[in-house]
Amino acid sequence: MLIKIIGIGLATVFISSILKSTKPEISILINMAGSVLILCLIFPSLKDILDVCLAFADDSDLIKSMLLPVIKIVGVSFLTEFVADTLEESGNKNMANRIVFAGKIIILVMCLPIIKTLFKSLFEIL
Amino acid sequence: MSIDILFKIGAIGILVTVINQVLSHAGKNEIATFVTLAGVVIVLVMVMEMVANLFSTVQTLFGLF
Repeated sequence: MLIKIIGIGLATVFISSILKSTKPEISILINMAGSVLILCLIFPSLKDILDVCLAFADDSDLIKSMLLPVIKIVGVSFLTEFVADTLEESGNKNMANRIVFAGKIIILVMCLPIIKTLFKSLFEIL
Repeated sequence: MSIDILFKIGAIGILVTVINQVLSHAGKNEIATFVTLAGVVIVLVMVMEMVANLFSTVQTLFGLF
């Protein structure tokens, strides 16, 4: 698995550096394809980790209600990071920053129920 | 999905570059532009398919949306 990922990374860099001088737009797309391949290779392992986390949370309802938004947030940050890195690499730093900002706002919106629960329990104590 | 897609895209890029240079030397610059455009579109379709696949994988994995 690791050897495969290393091979994909090296092949991506070599091919994209060959084409960078003549066809920069295709070299960007090769970089994108390489990163998608690596992510798709590593996702089954990630699924195993998430399954273990969910199995731990299975017996407690409170932990499960907290864990599901966290997993969603990890997914949002995955997608945001991937797209922002791709854009930044292709020289469009402005758009990458906007996408990172949008991702942060979406994550904050997803956090709102947790923050609400926290404050509710805090006010009950006080 | 496997590693051959990288080599496929690289081959398309090199092919487009060579055709482009031949056409430019022959004085057919407008056809060379269209060849470049066609190459970019072909590669874009291939990559977009992969990216859509990745996005749907992430959606099912993390339970998004």
